[in-house]
Amino acid sequence: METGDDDMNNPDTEKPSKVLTILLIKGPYVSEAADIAFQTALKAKQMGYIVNVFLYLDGTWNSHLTGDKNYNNPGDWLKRLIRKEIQVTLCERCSNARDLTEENIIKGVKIAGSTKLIDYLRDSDKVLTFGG
Amino acid sequence: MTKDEYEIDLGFIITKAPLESSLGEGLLTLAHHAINNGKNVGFFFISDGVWFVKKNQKNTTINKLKNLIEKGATITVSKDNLDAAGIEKTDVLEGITISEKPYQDLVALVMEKWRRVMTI
Repeated sequence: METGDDDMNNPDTEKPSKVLTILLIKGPYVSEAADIAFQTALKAKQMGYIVNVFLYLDGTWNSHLTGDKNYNNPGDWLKRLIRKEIQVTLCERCSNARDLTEENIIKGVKIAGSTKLIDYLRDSDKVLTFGG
Repeated sequence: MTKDEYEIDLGFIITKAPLESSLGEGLLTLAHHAINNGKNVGFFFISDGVWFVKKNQKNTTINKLKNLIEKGATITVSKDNLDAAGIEKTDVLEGITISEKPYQDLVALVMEKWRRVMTI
């Protein structure tokens, strides 16, 4: 099984730097959407692509998984994304509605207005939406 | 970006089981119309989507998928998720590629082979 992290030390840097944006609209522990989104992001980064992740609607809840767990934890995947310098952005209005602030989310996740999503959509070669 | 960069006009990522929602069957129908209009289509089945490719199902999606394969659609399924579901290789419809590195293959399809992508 692909790990998405341990095998990331040999990125294929010869690939052109196309841009992939992943939009996640579902929260953790309701389906595999978050796991698929984050593992796809890590693999794309490893393959040399520029990757953005935008957490939207209930997808913002994934950033709230700051603690350790002894079972599968999408928060751990998010932390790996941050370590690999993948830009992870949280929808500001969605965050406000759920009382998510920079104080109670995973460090390194940025909160921005939905215009940031428009920038991503405009500047990406491909956009994948998970959780629909 | 020109159309000629991509081998496949439309790619579909399916993460839901056939009877989990009507969206999956809807995309199969959409793919039929795309092929009938001269487009190439591809599918990648991952997560619960792998249930689409199992033989001997008694539902309306299986014949649509068989028909798409006959018409030249390129179909890939995640081995990790087949294993998780207990679906043996011999239970998978003929003409489907089983991916042993699903995320690598998925990203390669999305970024280099598929011109447009839809996900459910």
